[in-house]
Amino acid sequence: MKRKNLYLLLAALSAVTSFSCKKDKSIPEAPIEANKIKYALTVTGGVFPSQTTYLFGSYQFPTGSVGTANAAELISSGQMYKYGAYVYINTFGAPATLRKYEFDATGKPKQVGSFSVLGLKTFGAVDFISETEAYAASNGFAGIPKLVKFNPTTMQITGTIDLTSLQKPGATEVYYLGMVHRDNNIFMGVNYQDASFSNLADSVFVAVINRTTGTVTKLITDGRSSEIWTGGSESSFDPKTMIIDANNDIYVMGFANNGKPSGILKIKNGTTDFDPTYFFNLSTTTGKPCLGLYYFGTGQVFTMRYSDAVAYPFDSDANFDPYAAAEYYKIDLMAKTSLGNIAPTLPKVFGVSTFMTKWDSEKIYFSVPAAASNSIYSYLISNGTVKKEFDVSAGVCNGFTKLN
Amino acid sequence: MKLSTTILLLCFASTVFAQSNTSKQDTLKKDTVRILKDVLVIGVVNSKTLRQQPVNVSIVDTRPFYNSNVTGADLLRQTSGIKVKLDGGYGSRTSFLINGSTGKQVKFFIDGLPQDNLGETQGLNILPIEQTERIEVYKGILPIDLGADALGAAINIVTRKEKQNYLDASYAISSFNTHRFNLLMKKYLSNHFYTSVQGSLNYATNNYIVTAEAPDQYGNPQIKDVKRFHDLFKNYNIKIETGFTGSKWADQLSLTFINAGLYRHLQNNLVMAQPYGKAFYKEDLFSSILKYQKNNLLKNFNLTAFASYNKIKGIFTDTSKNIYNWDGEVVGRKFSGGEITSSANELNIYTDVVNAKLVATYRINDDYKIVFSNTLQHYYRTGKDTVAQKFYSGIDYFGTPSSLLKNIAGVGIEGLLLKKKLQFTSSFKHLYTYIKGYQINFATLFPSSQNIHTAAYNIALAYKLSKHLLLKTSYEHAARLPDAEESFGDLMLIKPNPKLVPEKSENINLNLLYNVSKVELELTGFYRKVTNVIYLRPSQFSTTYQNLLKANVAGVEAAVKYFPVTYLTLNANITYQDLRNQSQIDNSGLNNDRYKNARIPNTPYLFMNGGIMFTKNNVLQKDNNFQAWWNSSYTHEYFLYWEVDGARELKNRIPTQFLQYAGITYSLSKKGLAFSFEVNNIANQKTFDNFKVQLPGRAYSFKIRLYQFKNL
Repeated sequence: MKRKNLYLLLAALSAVTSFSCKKDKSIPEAPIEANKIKYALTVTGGVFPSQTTYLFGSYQFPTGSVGTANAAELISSGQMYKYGAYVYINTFGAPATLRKYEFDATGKPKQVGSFSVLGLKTFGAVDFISETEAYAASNGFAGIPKLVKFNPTTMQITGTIDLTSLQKPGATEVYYLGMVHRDNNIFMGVNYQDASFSNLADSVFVAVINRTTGTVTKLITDGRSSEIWTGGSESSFDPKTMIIDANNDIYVMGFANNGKPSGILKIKNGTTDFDPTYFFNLSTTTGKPCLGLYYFGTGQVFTMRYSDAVAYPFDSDANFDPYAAAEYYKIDLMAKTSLGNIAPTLPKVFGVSTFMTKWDSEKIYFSVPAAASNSIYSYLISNGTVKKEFDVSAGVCNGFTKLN
Repeated sequence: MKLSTTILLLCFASTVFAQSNTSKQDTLKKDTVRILKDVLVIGVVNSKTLRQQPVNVSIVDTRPFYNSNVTGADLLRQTSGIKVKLDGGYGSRTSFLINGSTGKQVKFFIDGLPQDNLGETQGLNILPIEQTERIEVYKGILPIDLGADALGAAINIVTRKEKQNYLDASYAISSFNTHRFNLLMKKYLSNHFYTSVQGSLNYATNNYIVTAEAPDQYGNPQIKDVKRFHDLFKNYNIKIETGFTGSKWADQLSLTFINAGLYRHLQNNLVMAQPYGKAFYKEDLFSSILKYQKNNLLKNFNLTAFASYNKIKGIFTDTSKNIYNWDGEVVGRKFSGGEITSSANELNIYTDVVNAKLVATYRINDDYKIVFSNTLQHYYRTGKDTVAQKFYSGIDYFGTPSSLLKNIAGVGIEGLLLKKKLQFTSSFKHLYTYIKGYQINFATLFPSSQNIHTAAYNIALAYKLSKHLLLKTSYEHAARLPDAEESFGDLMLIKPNPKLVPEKSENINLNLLYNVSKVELELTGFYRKVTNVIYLRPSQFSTTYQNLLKANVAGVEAAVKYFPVTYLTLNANITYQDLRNQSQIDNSGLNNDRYKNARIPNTPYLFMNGGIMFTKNNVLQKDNNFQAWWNSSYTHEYFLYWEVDGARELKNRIPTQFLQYAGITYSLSKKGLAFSFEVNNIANQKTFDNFKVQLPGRAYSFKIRLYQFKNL
């Protein structure tokens, strides 16, 4: 991973992933209505970068093979977010546009709002804080260093936070990858690339942004792992970079690169610095490099382990052809141990295109984007039983959620 | 641009004409006042001869249109089986869809000389119609003497070759600040030695109104009508030719020099969502062509030879960090990169192309002849981009040369059988190319080269069923080699892929031509089975040509012309073509047959044209003539992406379009003067050929033409 292709990074950014079960009390819960769409899915088909994203709903929990006959068609690859009873989709291509959807009486998706930022090709991550406050990070491709603040109810931009102070000499591309919020701060992953598309420095960078003042407080860094590489937020469906656990500690996923291992760093509750006493070396513990962090409460933490390091992290072989080699591993953040493959019989998957999500206390749902099939499986929390729930016929599923 | 020059030249031309002898009549002057017939003109001897050949060809006689302000692309738009797609206003990129063949599958020639890889300056959309004699559109088999690797379609532009002195100048002004000037002069200095000059200037700001989504102060996209503000197009074209005709040792020996250039602003991205305000593309062509032709060089042996050297320089400039809105205002600045690319570019592309062609014909007897053809092309391209090089820490991704050598050798036989009621032609071609380039993976260059040998062959028959009825059929195994842009990209938005393999197609055509005094009818059926289709999918940013698809194409077309009375011509045509995918689509690593038999997306499949022409001679004064016409074209809606995906009512589509054009021409034949007034898109419909990229609305144009001829 000495050099990175711009488009593969975008693939990583827009690929599919998981939705944390951690409930924010500010998220409005819509009343359950029998005749309303209950589940929403997005599927991206085609070959990167010529991809098309389909958003559709289902009255019942999907079964069998799910198609897109009732889907809205969005140009290019897309990333889905779920907040409250709404689905939000960010597609690739200037101007960066975030669209808000609900489902109409016929069960079809209906766009109910959107905002765009001219000159920007996509948003790196979207973090919802309340019904009136959310943030969308610009992406380094367009060289626009700002964080967009918006009202997710009205879908109006209410301000921007200048990120110019995060620029570094020699960094030709700066990517803002993943966000979480705690207290009055937003923690946002930052990745610096030089002109050769190599890391400017092999370190994990996280920007701390004060929501009240709308300014960057500081940039913290830790060299025990190589970099932040994927994005995501609590509302997204992709391999997350940062999560907040029940203790309000933030865990940050670092990638393996240039001799440094993949591993997890911690920003303890009440602090805005990396905890120097905590590092979970995933490469050593699992025996292979890992990406992504899925957290669903104590004892329910997962990552994607690459059984063949050649495929890490672009899901391609030495000839740059697609190569599925990732597998779901359960890990223990506190003990810093691996609990192994959750289902060794599952086909290997394209790790960047995975997600895990949960909306009740019974099951965790996760995607299995494999070389010959695309499916959604469930993981029974009580005993770890893994079961295939349904197939997706029109491409890679990159979002699956329950709306009401 | 250069409007004053244009006016000055027109004044000069007017003076010349005022002093000329207006009593001199000639055939071309008659052409200018003849009935402005439909584009499928059968009355012309050459056209009729060509159309009665076994190959399926439509002939567009351009001479009746010299007085009007149409382009070659406009004329082809009205022809059956042909769909013209534009990227925008005047001077924008133009592509053709002919009986299911499109893009690179359609080959272009000027006077039989291939135009592959010669840039955009000689395109049908900007070449003045007065510089041409006719446009030949081959649908299916190509004549062996064209010597090309087309997959099922080709367009050959035949330029004017009158053996007479003439001066022909015109100026047209149109909506959206469009100015077009054309000048042709030819002078015989002796019975055999001549020199000619052809020049044209085109200029358009293309500031037509489009409906765009413009974010307001809250970022919410507002639908509003805006004027395109960065869509300037200008080009010039100068062609100087000198040579001998009709001498003992050469029917024609000529040397031609061409200098042409174009400059084009880039207004928006591929889906017209992001406006740009500074980026542009510029191109210059320097070309020299040597041609030799002699019939009966030896007994019954004809020889034609071409050689050309072409130098093309393109410049793609994207260095501004400004962010523009659709009102043309700067609303922000980027920290790095350009408007379009993340590196910013000042990319110079240098291309050298050598073409050589030889066609030899031996006539065995009155009924049979053998034709040999060989076409050789060498292409070499390199680039230089100091801006991007700086961005990439001194690495020059563009400086690595790419080269392509292509040779197409063919032999064919033509003959008459069954008391000359049956014509046949058959040929075999060997296609060879050597492609040497590179791929870019993970920002690293990987050199790549390959040799390709393949073959193509065909047979075509034409049987005269009766005096009025001609039946034609043909079979072809066609092959098309990857071309330079497909193999090497454009160094801008298209990435290289030098590992492409040839497209191949099995083509079957069936034509029935019926011709009586008042009615001309043509029915056509065609079938193509295409493999290894080199496909550039619609995308919002850089992409790569790939051998993605197998496809079956089946279609029918019908064209009719009716002359109820001498002063009225009615014409109509309709085309239905069904392009169906036959391959499994690689879907992010997932092979499936979900798209098998699905209609190929982003391709029109049903379109039709109709028109009416009124002509009246001796209006107001003897030899003054009046013409009025109305044409229309209909294109049925089609989807941008696979029709099997998504709810039909929510899919992205090119909507159904019905466009109307009309015009009048009044010519004073004795004075060599003509005026034309035309309206395009009469109903001011919102029109699209490519997704969300809106074409001009209603447009008016006025043209004045001055012409004078003198027979030797």
